[in-house]
Amino acid sequence: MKKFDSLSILVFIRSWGITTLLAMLLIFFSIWAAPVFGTLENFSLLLGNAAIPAIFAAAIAMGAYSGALDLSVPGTAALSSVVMAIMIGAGIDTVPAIGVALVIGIAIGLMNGLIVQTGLNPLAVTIGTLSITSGIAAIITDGLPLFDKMEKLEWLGLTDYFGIPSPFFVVAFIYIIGTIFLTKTRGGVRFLAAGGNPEALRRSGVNANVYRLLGFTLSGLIAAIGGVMNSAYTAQATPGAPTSVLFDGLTAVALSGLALSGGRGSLPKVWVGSMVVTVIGSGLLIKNIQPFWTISITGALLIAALAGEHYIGKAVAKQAVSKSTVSAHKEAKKAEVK
Amino acid sequence: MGARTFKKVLVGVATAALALSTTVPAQAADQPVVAFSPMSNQIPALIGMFHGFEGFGASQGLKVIQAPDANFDPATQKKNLEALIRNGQIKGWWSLAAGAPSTLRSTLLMAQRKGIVAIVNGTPADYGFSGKQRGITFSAIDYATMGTKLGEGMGKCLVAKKEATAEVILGANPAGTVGKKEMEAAFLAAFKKAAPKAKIVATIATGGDTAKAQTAIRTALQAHPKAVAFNGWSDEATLGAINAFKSANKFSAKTTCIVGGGGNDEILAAQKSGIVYSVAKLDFEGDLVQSVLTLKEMVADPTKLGKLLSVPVKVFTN
Repeated sequence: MKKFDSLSILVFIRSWGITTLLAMLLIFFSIWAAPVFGTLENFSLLLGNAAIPAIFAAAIAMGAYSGALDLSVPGTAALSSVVMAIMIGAGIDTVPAIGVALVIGIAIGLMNGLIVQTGLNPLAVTIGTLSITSGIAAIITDGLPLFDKMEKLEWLGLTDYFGIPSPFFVVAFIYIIGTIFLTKTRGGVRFLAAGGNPEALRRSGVNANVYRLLGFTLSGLIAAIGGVMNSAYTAQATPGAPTSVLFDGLTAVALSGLALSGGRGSLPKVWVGSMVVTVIGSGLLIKNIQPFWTISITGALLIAALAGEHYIGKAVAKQAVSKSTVSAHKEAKKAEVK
Repeated sequence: MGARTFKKVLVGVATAALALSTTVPAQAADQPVVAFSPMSNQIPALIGMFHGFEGFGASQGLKVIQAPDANFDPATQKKNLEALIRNGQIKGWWSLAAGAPSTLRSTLLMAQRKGIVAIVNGTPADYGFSGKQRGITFSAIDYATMGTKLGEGMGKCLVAKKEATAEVILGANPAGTVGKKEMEAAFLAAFKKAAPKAKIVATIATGGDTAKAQTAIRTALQAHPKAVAFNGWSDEATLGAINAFKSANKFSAKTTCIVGGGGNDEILAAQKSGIVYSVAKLDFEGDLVQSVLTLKEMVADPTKLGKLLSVPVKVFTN
């Protein structure tokens, strides 16, 4: 039987901490908020409720992987969704309208990336883009929400398939494709390296800028998907950039342990982070606890998760160093004996 | 574009700007400039209100400008208004406080000293005054009436649909909303009177985010599958409720009772089609007329005492 030492336990906690937390929360609320919370029906609702925050979290994560925090996500979502709504309102079919929304997202992401590559600060650039895109969305709609013919999107945002809300399938698609790209392709490995250690990538003859550009483009594309899904879910497109999604997305990303400076992180854990936030909100709501508690508990959890990540990371490094020192001593002694 | 051509364009733009700036004082002298400063320039209803103010103001000889966005921040609103006052850009303004009205007290006093008039939402007490003030008109929303009308609407709906003993999910305003206490207390009193046997099974705070309201209401419906009624305090919350009931397959014209405060086109259309039973709408059109006429009078004579106005409430019921 394999003997667990303290290092392997610490590594396990670092790798599975957020997932363990989600499992504990699910068990806790299933008992405390019984009989409603622990049902299959409620679990499928949780998957649906976490879907839109998870999409925005993925958009933020894609930017963060490549080493840049993309704050233009809400603006991209707002602009692409209102353009889609205008097209749908004009009688254009939903699929081409969605296609145009996604192209807008890609274009905005590409524009962010190209500007940042000139040497400007990514935070400042993406804040600027947030203002520009929100402003354009407000100008073309005169600041008013669009709801004409938006019921055509019910299949995408308000319908259950196999008992699971439709937005979950979009999330599953994004996260599966994203995870395969990041973990199973050479491009994915380089993409992560572009954020974590661009210099090393450059020295190995790979153009890191291409991968940073890809990060912004993917962030823009996923933000546009988020905008489309938000409109499909609410049956309207609002020109006001949903800035609260930034907070929700950042919370999920931070809970996942993804380094905001880029280079490492797991996309499935970002989804788990979104689920954690959703489960807390849902459990407290079912128990009819004041919603303000959700905000405070989520904030406390975020700080605890970051602190845990920090200290466990340090402890792992310390243990690994002492372990390698011990084994080096042993090797040296063996050599001396010989 | 060559450097010489670019220089020419710059000179041209500068000359045009100079020409425009020399014409502005003449125009301002003919037509007093007044500003509109709501809590946010991004709320659809308030954008509509600004356009109404702009249009009707022009017909009354007032040039209406939009103050920079307060974005729900009382300090930003105060700073923006004071900049307009100090720079002598306006003769008056109409504001809807972005937070605690008392933040604007010193701004109002500064304006009074400079002979600049104002219409502000709330009562004199909200701004630390008592009674009528020189150059300031107070326009108070009757929150209690709004709450009463919605509470009555919900109760009547349940009784009409033979659901008098039904389970109800109560909507609440987010913490810090102006008038929250008055609206919600009046709602409860009127609702309990109209449908005394109805049972409130959950309370959900919903603000101006449709998606969040929708998610919360659908979760509450999961916890309380027999619930048939919800009251939204904003269009966003009401729309979220409609979507939540529909997506949970719990909407039935025979039993569901949704009432809402606000009244944008979409919600009024839902009320007409029977999806929403009752809508209590603040009659901003009526308020607009009385406010513009009052502002015009005050601009003409800033030394006069302002008025105490009340925003009417219009109710649309099936």
